[in-house]
Amino acid sequence: MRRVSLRLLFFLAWGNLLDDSFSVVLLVAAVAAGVTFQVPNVANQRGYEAALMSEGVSAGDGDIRLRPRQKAGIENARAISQRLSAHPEIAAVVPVVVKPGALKAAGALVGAPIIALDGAASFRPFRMLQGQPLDPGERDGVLVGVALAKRLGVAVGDSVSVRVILAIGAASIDEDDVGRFRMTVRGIVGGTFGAQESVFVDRAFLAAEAGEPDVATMILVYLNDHARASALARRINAELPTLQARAWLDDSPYLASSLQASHAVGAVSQSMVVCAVTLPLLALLYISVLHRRRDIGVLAALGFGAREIFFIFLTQALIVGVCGSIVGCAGGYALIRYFLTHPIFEWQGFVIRPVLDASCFLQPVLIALCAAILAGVYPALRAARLEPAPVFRGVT
Amino acid sequence: MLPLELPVVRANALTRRFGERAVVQGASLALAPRESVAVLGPSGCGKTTLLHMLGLLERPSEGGVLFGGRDAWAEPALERARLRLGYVGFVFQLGNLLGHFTARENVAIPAWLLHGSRAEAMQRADAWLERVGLFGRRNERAAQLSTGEAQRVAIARALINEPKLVLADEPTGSLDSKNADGVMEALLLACSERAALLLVTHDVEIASRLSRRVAMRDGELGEA
Repeated sequence: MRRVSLRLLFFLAWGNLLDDSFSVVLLVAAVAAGVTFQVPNVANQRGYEAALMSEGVSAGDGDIRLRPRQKAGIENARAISQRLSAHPEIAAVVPVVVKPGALKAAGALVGAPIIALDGAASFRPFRMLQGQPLDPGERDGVLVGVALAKRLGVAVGDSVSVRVILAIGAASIDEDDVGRFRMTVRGIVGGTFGAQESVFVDRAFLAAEAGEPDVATMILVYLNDHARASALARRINAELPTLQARAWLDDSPYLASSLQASHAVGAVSQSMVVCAVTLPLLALLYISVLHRRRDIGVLAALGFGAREIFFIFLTQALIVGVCGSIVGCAGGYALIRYFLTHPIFEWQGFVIRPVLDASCFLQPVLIALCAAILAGVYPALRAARLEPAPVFRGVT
Repeated sequence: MLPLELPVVRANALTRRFGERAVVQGASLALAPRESVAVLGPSGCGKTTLLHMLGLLERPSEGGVLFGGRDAWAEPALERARLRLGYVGFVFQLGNLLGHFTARENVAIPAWLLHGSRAEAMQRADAWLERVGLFGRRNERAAQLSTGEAQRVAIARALINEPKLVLADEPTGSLDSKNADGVMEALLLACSERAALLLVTHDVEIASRLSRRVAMRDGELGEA
C-alpha cells in the first residue's frame, strides 16, 4: 500500500475545478443557495421555538405546575413555595389563585378567569403589552388580557368592575359569595396560552377577600433549564405527595406538539435542502467527469490508481461544499441580520426573531458538506472506474 | 532490481479482441534496455492497442506482458498503477497535458505522486524542462503552449520518474517536420541513457531513426 500525498490530490482537485470556472460558479452557487436558505431557516425555527417556550413557560405557566391532588386549594402555599425556592435549579416559585369571574366595562359583562398572583413575582404567566405591572398588595388595580380588553373596549386607566366567585366548591352560590370590585386597568397583558382572555389581580388582596390568606389554586415553578422539568417534577411528586407536579411537556400538550411540529417542519426543510443541493451537484459533477474523461485517462496512464482518482473527484465535491458553505454562511448571516430587524411574524407581542448562534451555521454547513460528499461519490466512482484505453482510442 | 539479462518488457502472444474481431493477434515482442523499437503500420492496424496493452492500460484477451520477468497483468490494479508510475512512461500523440496546470506542474505530477514531495518533484521537473529546452516556459499553462512545446513537456513528464520503458504513440503525428525533429531528438536523447523506447508511428522516416523496426498488419506483428 503506497502513501499518497493528500496535498497532491487536493492540488489536482483544485486545479481541475479551476479549469472550468463557470461550472465551479454553478456548483458553488448550488451549495451556497442551500446554505443561504437553511441558515436563516434554522435561526427562525429556533426563534419560533424560543418564542413558544417563552409564551408557554417563561412568560406562561412555568416549567412545573403544582395542583392539589384532592382539595380545591393548596394549603400552606407560602411554606411550600419557600421550600421549593431553596432548590438551586429553581429560578422562581409563584403561587397563584384562580377563581371564576367576569369583567364588566361600558355595560358589557364578559366571563373570564380571575388569576391572582404576587405583584412582586419575578416571573409571571403573561407578557406586559401596555401599562405597568401591579404593585405588591395593590387592591384597586387590575391587568386585563388583550383579547378581553379589545372585546370590552377597555384601555389602561379605564375603570372596570371585576366580579369574582369567591367560594369554590359550594353546592350553591348566593350573592355573598360573589365579590364585586371597582378597579382601574393598570396594564394590558398578552400571552398565547390563556393570558389574553384572563384578568389578573393581586394575590394578597384576593386571598384576603376569599378568607383564605395562605391558600393557592396552583403553584407555578420556573426553572433555569427547561429540559430539567420532567425530572424535577418527579422529585417534587415524591417529596410532596399531596400535590400533583406536572412538567410543561405533560401539562401543555399544545406547546409540546407545537414544538414537535416545528422540529418536523425543520426536518422536512433540511431534507429539501439536501435534495436541492445534492441533485444539481451530482448532475454537474457527473457532467464534469464525462468532460474530463481524457484527463482521467491521463492520470491513470501516469500511475494514479482508482482509489486516488476517486479521492481527487471526491475532494472536488468537498471543495465545492466548503466554498459553497462559506458563501452560503455569509448570505445566511446577512438574511438573519435582516430578519432581526424585520421579523417574519409579529402578532400582539408574539414575535418570531431569528436566534443567532453558531448552531444556526453549523447544522446547515454539515448538511451541505454531507450533501456535497453524497453528490460527489457517484461521479467519483465513475471517474475511478473509467477505462483509459477507450478514451485514448477516441482521442488519439 | 531486475536481472540484467531479462528484457525490459516482453509481450507474449498478445491478442485483443473487440467482439469477434481481433485487433491484435498473437503479438510477441521483447525490448532490451536502451533499445528503441518502432512499430510501423497504417491507421487502425492495432498499433495503439498493442501499446496500451504493453502500458497496462488495456487488458489483453490472451497472452501476457512481462516486466523484467514479472507478469504485469497478473498484478492487482493498484500494483499495475504503481508499475505505470515508476516503470513505464507514456508519450501520447497530442501530448495530453492537463490544461489548467503549468508545464512545470504537468511534469512534476508523476514525481510528486511517486516520491510524495512537492519540492523535490518541482526540482526534478525544472531539470527535465531544461533538458527539453523549455525551462523558460515552465510557468506557462499547458493550454498556452504550442503543440511542439506541449509534446516536449509530455516527454519530460514521461521521463521524470526515470522509467525503464517509454511508450510513445505517434508523438510527432501532429507536428510539422521542424517540430517533429526537435521532439524526436529530445525523446531519443532522453531514452538513450536508460530507457527502452517503443514508438508507434506510420512515418517511415521517423522509424528509421530507431534501432529496430517492426511492422503491424491486420493485428499481426512481423519484422518490417
